[in-house]
Amino acid sequence: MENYLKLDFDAADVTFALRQHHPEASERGGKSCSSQQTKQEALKSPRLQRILEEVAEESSRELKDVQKEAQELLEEIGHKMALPAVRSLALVLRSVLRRILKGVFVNKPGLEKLKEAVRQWPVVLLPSHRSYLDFILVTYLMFEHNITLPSIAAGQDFMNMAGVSSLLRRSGAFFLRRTFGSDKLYKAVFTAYVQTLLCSGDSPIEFFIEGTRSRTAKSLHPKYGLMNMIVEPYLDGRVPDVVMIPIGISYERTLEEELFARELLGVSKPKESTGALLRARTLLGENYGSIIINIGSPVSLHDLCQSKGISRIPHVLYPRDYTMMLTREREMIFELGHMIVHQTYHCMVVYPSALLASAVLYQSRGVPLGELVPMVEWLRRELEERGVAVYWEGGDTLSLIHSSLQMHSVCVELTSSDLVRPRTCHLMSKLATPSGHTPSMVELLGMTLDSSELHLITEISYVHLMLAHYRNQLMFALIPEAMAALSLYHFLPCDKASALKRFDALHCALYKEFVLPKRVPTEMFQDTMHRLLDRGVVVSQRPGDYTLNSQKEHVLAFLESLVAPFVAGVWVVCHHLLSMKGGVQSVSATVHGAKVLAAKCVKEGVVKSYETLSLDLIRNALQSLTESGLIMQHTSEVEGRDRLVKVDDLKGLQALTRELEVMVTSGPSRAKL
Amino acid sequence: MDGLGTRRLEVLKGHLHGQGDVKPSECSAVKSSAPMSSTKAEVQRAFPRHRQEVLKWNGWGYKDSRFAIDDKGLTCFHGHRYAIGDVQMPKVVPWMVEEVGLELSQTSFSQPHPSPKELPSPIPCRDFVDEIRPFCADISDEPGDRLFHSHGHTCHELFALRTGKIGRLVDIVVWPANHSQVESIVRAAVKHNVCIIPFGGGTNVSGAVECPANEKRPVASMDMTDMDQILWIDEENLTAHIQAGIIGQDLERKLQDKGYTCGHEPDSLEFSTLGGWVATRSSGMKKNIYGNIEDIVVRVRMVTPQGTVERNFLGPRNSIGPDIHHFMLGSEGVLGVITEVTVRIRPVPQTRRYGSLVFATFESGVAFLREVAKQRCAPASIRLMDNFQFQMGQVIKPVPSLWASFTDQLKKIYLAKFKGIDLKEMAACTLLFEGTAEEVAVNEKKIYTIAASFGGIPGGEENGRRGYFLTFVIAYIRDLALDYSFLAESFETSVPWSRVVDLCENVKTRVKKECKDHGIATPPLIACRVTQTYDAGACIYFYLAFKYTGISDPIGAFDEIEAAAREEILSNGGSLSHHHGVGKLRKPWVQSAISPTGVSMLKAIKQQVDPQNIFGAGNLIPT
Repeated sequence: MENYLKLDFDAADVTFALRQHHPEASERGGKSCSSQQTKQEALKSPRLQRILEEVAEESSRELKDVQKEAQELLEEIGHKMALPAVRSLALVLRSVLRRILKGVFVNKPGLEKLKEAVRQWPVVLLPSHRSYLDFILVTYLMFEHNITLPSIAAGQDFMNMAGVSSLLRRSGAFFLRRTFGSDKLYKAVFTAYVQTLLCSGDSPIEFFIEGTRSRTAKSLHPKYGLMNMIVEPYLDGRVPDVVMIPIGISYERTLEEELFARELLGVSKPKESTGALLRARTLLGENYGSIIINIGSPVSLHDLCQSKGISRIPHVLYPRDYTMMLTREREMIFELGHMIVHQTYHCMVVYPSALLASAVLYQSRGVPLGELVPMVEWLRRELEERGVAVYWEGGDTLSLIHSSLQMHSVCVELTSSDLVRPRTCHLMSKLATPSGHTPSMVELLGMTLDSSELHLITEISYVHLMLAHYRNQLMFALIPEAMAALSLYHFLPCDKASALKRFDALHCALYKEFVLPKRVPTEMFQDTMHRLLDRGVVVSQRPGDYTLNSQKEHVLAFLESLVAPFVAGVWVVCHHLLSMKGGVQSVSATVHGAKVLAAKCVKEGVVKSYETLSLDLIRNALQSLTESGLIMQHTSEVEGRDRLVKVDDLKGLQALTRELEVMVTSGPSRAKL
Repeated sequence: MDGLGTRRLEVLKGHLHGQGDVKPSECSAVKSSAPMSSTKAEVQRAFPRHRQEVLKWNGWGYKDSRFAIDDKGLTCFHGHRYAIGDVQMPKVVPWMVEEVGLELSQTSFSQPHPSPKELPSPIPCRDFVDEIRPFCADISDEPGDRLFHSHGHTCHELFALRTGKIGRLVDIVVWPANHSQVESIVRAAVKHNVCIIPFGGGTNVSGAVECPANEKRPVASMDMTDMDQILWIDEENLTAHIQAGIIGQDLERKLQDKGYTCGHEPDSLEFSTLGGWVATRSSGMKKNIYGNIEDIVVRVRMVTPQGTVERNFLGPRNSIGPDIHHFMLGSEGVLGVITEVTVRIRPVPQTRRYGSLVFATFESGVAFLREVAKQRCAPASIRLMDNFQFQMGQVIKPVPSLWASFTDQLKKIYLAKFKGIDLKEMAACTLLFEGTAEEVAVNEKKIYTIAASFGGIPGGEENGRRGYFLTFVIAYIRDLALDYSFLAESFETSVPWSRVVDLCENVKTRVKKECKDHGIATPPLIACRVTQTYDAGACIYFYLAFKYTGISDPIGAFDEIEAAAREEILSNGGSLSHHHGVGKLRKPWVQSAISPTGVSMLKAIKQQVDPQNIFGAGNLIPT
């Protein structure tokens, strides 16, 4: 931790309140604009003016009215950054965090680079997003270190929280609507605002490329809307470069862990309201460990474009307010999005709690404490070999496990017989089917599930999903290997062709679940196989043939276990879709149906993982299947209705289901780690 | 006859009164918008045939004119040719130390002139020489002549000279005296397969007169400066027919003796030639009145290996397909050599007046220039200097008198306190008005009214004059910089109005980043000014300098930084060049600038006119 600085929560509040905030002046001629100036300048931008005229003409309205509307929209969007607000927010924050945290740490070299970049370039900060706390942590950090404060893109949900929205606004948050695809005026106004911030101001822009908090703590697919708005001014020569800085914010214990688990199960998703946030205050008596903010290496958009051979020259042949993206540029932005998400996650630190959760989920009936120690240590080594930073706070493993168990007592327990298991483990016995007969899918579909059983299963899932939230934190480093492992483990010895076929099916099923590259996965498979062979996890006696290395079977088994729950989930969704027999169903009905089917599968032991009940998993499965053209989702003709789901390629879906089935249902019990 | 007689009288009157409007004290500061190196009217030529006798072999301009820093750390400009001659400028060194990291201990003075032994011996071309000797005015293979004719003024070339890295030299220098001699020489060159590189003032900044390193044939530099006669003046039509080797200052002096002016004033006016202007598509400071070179020429004669190309009429415009003049304008010595040019001339204006304006920011200055261009009321010259250049202008000054420094201080206080102008942000605009007294008065009123609406504050006539004057000494400053471990260069572009500000900003940023990435410790000097305005855009001129102490391959780093700056210019909608031309330096970008088809058209012309590549300087056309 010698490269980390601890944020100073200890200095007296008075000292802190009187602290000056005078960042060094921008060297690039960016001017510190007042929030009102920014809005005015945005409104004056030639491009917005042109679009306002177009809108007026298309809707036969007076230009003046449209301009007025634009002005109102700017008021809705724009921040009202004011230092006193930041100061008071910071004061509240530090007094709260002081009570519940051991500390917030930030990497020194990253902070230095950030400071330098903000002075010299238009900067975009791209933090990971796992908690509402992310909104203020970066600002707090920059305030404490005397760096120009960022303007932060926030979802409009916040605007419903009366006091909070105004406090956020005054701390530099600006608001965007969740969807504005077809609203030309809104889109133009918002774009103008963001681009004015980027081009004329001296404050960095901060937004969450994943769009929303990752409830599962896995990376989410990047959102491209803001990315496009950021890239455009560079292509158009309005800024010399845009420097993007990924920031990984790792929580030892996520503040919203229970909320997320509830949301994932669809159990009363509370609307973000001030009330809910206040209720969250009851959590404040607890221990949330520490937070590590790891600022990644700045990514220069200019350098990236150079390396991809993207020239700005095509844009100089048009008037400045006519920028349009070329295909190659869109592709570049797509790759850039993936790259940033990837880098953000590689900035993250893995806490022992993630190792603990992984071990517990691997053996969800319980792990004897004595076995847990070597398991956790083994996992740590495996991760560190892969270049993952594991937070290891001195001390011996056992005491680390103890403190982790204490911190995570909501989801994991240590029984009197020294067994570490999910807190709801005892409930599982109530579900055990007496007969021992495993029903077929057809039987399952016909079965009914009474509400008390569903309730029980949901309760178990709830804790499993919380654990999964921690286990998933090491997913980013292992996904390709885990997919390869699943396509191999139960089939070894096997040939490359069949493994690749299964890998291909996994890529198709998990495309949205994980941030996988869009390309044909052959390359990814080969890369990964190289790595597995290098590590001796599998061996190859002849080229194209893989056999098990019994010494390393546990590695394969563990890797496979990481991805198996997700594949099982997709498989259940496939079955539900096939059961529709060519009919049409609304998305919500489909999701619900798949969830109930998952619950039945879990109850009957057809599927082992309680995570398959996750609505997020089901929705991602639908997206992945849509992406690969197996099903279709189309907008209902009745307005306000949900979109409709329909199987488009029955044969393809059947084939995929079969392919997944082999992987999900086969296999002996797991090897010991 | 009557009409002609009256007009002649007016012209002369204009000439006589021309300077009369300018107060004598102002005359002493700068003698013309361009400094005339010689005051003696009887002098026919500014410098002798072997120019290195009076001009530097390894730097800009006259041998007797240079900036130097004395033992006490004071800067002085030596020589009496310019208004700042032999006065000490105490502010320069402290300013340069502060702004660009000058360190007086880090000297990098030039190597002495190489001895004949150190130079590569010429490739003999006896047959060629024997054939032209009977009629050619002069032929030389003296080392000093060959060295002088083998370089232009890019930073690259000067650095090589100063560090003793002499590359391929021309093998012989020939001085033709007229068009038919040129024809004969070119015929002989074709016959004996000798490569010809035309040489005018040698002031190019594009590597245009450098010998291609791999040229195995004998290379003859054709020095045009013996061809310096005004062949006729047509006062009826206001045209003059002139030999292309005439040096700019000689041309102006001779025309002004007769009451006329050509009005073409590139910054190199003292040293460059009329033919050179045509061959590079040059631009003059006062183009708003007189036009750029393409507007000024009425007829051009160019000798090619296939014979002479020319238009056989003097009409002001024509519709005879693509204009063959455009094969000559900007041909950079690779299609032939320009021998004679008919130009438009104008009576010398009665009144010339300078002016200056101060703007709070560079952006507001650009907005002002754009408005002036929109209203098409630009005076003879209008330029906008960024803050850095403005500051530089303020320090290249003699020791101020007590009174002057007091008023300077008052001016600063006035700007800062009363007008709210940040002295570290402000930009300065310099103006030059020409015409009749009434025209100038009307123009001035209009310009100052427009300026006021952009927050421009008049900064006085003296500052305007200084601004223009500095143009002519700035090249001398580069030599000073080269003495103290700096590399320095200027480059230019033209760009649509909407992109002017961003282009300037982005190029500056890119250069700073590149310097840093190349390990250059002190931040570079990168300054710009808008030097020309057009309906659809402007010309921007950049100065770049950095200290290379500690860099293992300074010139390699410099080339990469300059290339990055050029890339950035192109990416921001700037042209490859506004008036410096392509030469060898900017050739890599020609194809993307004018499309592969465009290049193939140029190649087809080259192939047809010069299949043997006699004019083998290798400029402009990508291979």
